[in-house]
Order: sequence, then C-alpha cells, then structure tokens
Amino acid sequence: MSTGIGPPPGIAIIGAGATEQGEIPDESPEVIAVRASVAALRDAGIDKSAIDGLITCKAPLTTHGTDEGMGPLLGINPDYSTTLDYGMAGFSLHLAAMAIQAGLASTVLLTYGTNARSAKIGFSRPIGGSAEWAALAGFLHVAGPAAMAARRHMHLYGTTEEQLGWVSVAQREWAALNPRAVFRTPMTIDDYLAQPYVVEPLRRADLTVISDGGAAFVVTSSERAADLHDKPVHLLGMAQRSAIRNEQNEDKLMRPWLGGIADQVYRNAGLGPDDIDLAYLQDGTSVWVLQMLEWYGFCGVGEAGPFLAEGHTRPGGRLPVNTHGGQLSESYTHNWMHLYEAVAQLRGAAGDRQVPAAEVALHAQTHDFWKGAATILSTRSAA
Amino acid sequence: MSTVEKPLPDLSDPVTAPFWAATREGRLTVPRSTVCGYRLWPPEAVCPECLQPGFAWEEVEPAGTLWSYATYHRALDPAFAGDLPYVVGLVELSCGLKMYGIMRGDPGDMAIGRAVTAVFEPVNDDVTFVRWQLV
Repeated sequence: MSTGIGPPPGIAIIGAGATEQGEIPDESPEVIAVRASVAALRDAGIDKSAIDGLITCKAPLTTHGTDEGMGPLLGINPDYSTTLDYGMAGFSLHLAAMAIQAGLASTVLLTYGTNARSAKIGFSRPIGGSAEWAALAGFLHVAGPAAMAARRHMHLYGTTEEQLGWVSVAQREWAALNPRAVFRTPMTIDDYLAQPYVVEPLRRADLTVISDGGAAFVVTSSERAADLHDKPVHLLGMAQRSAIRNEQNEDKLMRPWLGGIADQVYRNAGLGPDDIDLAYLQDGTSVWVLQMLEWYGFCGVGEAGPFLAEGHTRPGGRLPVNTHGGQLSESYTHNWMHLYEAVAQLRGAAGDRQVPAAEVALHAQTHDFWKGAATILSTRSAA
Repeated sequence: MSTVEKPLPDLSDPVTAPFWAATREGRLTVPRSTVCGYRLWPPEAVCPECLQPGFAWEEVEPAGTLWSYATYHRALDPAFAGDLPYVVGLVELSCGLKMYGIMRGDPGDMAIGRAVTAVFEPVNDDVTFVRWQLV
C-alpha cells in the first residue's frame, strides 16, 4: 500500500467544455469529442497549437475515441499522446497531472465523446468480471451487482428503499435547475417508490440514463494557469486504488477499498470530509452514491440511509451531491460531466443551481468493482 | 416464452472443464493449487497466490448461506425473459468461497443468512448447472 503522502500536485484545470447531452444521432464519438474540445479550448482562451499533450478516453464497448482516431480531427501532433480504455475524467485527469509533472507536456487536452444512446450500445453484458460465470447465472448489467450490494446494505444496517430513493430524488431536484439535463421532470419520493423494480431493490431511477454527449478539459501547471485564466481550478489532492483481484477480494460488492482512496486523497490535500463543500460521486447506480457517502467519511459506515433521508444532499442541504443531476438525471457521459459541473460550481458559473461560497469539491469516481480515483479541487491553490 | 437460447459453458476450456465434469456427477468442486494449496473461485489459469499453474479439483460441500441476492424483474438478457422474476444469489459456501447462482424457490422467501443447498440441473447430456435452493 502506498503511503500517498505528497505535496499538492500544482496542477490546474483552465478549460472545460461540453456538448449538449442526450441524443446526438448524426455524429461519431470522435466528432462529439472534437466539439467538446473546441469549447474547452475557447474556455481556456488558448489555440490548439498550445496543446502539447492529448489524453483521449475510449467510448466504452467500442473502438472509438483513440488518440490516433482523434489526431486527424483535432489537427495536432502533441508531444505526448495516449488513450485510456477507462479514462472517465478522474483517471484521465490524474494521467494529465502525471504527464505535466514528469515534464512530458505542459498543456494537456483531455477528451471524451460517446454516442452510446444513438448507437444502441448494449450495456447488458455481465459486469464485474468473471463474465462467463455471471452470464450463466443471468447476472447481467451493473444493476445486478448493485442490487445485491443494496440488499446487503439493507440487511446489515436497516437501510430502506425509501432512504435509497433519496439519492435519485435529490439529484432530480438538482437536474430541474440544469437546462442540460436529460431528465428534468419532477420526481417525488412517492413517485420513486411507485416505479416498478428493474432488479429489486433497484428501480429505473436508480440506474443511469444512457445518453450521447462529450466533454473536454485543458489541464496545465498551476504556475502557468495563473497567467492563462482568471479562475483556474487547482488539484489539491489525488488518490487511486484498484481492486482488480475482483472476485477474490473478501468483500467485492461493498467496496471497502474506497475508504483507502478517501484516506489518501484527504491526506494529500491536507483536508477532511468536513472541508468538502460539494461532492461529485459517480452514480452509474444510486448504490454507488450510498456507498461513497460512507467511504468518503460524510457519515459513518451504515449511516448513509438516514443521511440521505435527512436531505443533506438536496438543494439547500449541507453536502450538495451531483448538483447537475449526475448520471441518474443529467446524462451518462461516464462521470465526465461531474468534473465539468465541479469546475462550473467552483468558478461560480453554475447559474440557478450555484451553491453559495463553494470553494472545495470532491470528485470521486469508480470503475465499478475494479478501480477508483478521487480528486479534491478548489479555486484556492493550496489547502 | 423467449426463443433465445441461454448461454452454455465452454466445455473445451481446460481451466473450467473439470468443474463441469464434476457437476454432471452431481458433485461441487473447486480448484486448489497443487503448489501452494490455495483454493479459489472462480477458477483461473494460474494460482493468484503462488503464480504457478496446476490445480487439483477438490469436492466441497454443496451448501452454504445466502450472502446477498438480486431479484430480476426485467429481462436484461432476452434468454432469461421466460424466467422472470428470477433471483441471482451470492452463496457463501461452507468452505468460505463465494459463488453466484440462480436461486430456485419463491423469490419472496429469500433472505440473507438463510442456509442453502445446491441443486444439480442437467440441461443437456453434457452440461449440468448448479442452482441453489433454501434449506
């Protein structure tokens, strides 16, 4: 285990761009990513010629979105370029920071585009590894293991379906304030409970929307950022953990290893859960939010149900979570829009859903049962 | 009823073939490293502890407890449309390993911690699946 004690990374985001989210039927993932990149470069106030690093993220279950596919469209030959199979904002961001710190690049563009909805990409394959065994048991789609984790949480801690429902209901309240969100129709807790099960105890609202869309970011050193942008968003701490032994791990479904990411990211940033003004928790399912509230120390292990029901994550609550609506209401885009929203909030540019005086945001993502990454972000350059 | 065939195991895979040979005889077996004695599930091509190939298949008690379960109300795979609602359980075997499997019985009777036993269900001459039921 790494001790993970290090200086603040000295890295900042100076550009953020996103396309519309939902249905983009006539564009490839690459073209969507290009549009997001144009927006990010414009936001950063730099020309593409200033980009000397490119990190692209593949569109899941496709061959789209490699750096070699993006290069001819972006018209750049960056010194450093690579592709992550699962970059999904957090991992891509960390790799950009590493590339800058290693002296491989000074100004890195991160891109992602997907047309998963229009291309009807099938996500009902077994998830969580050991695909053959899962398929033979009809154990398909992330909803399966997530439902199992939720059931276990209910058994151990007395968590109720209504308490879990507040993840989705709160995020729908946020989405109502977000013109970009796919699902903006109001949903009460009674509406939630009236929905039929998909994989019991999970309902439709507990599972991400599948959508098209793209996002891009420009990342540079905090030193350069000060000259380029009036509101750079600094990385105060980063941490990752993997659990790639997968089924061999003692407790795969409840993901206690996320606690290790939390410990390390707080230590690296010199901050704790009480210092976090906004939390962006990847929510392919509502269960991931339930788990991460606990592992990131916003409440005790087993206490996320009551914490949610008390309304802390809702608009006006003391820990706004996924203020754009998240993957449950805004769009899928695999956690990239969580980072986009974090940047917007920290810059004070989140419109009707702006959280007053928000200074520090946690961006926490997980690749389901395999790995996770967390970043603490702030317009302050040090804790 | 769905006309889509349910997936079948690849019996030619040497990593898992011994498991299916044993289920045909109504026996539940798991691989144990012949080098270091580590037992694992699911099977892998090498032992993740000593990193060496070579396993003996050890018969284990076809029983355990229900660690958790998920009840499918929607056919996320059309092959299982005719089975709705069906329950996938995660069974903690008496030997400590955990296995996913389809649960037999009334979905409403499922509860974490309940004792379960294996049910060996032949689907053709070559393949016998392991399903589980409450004791």
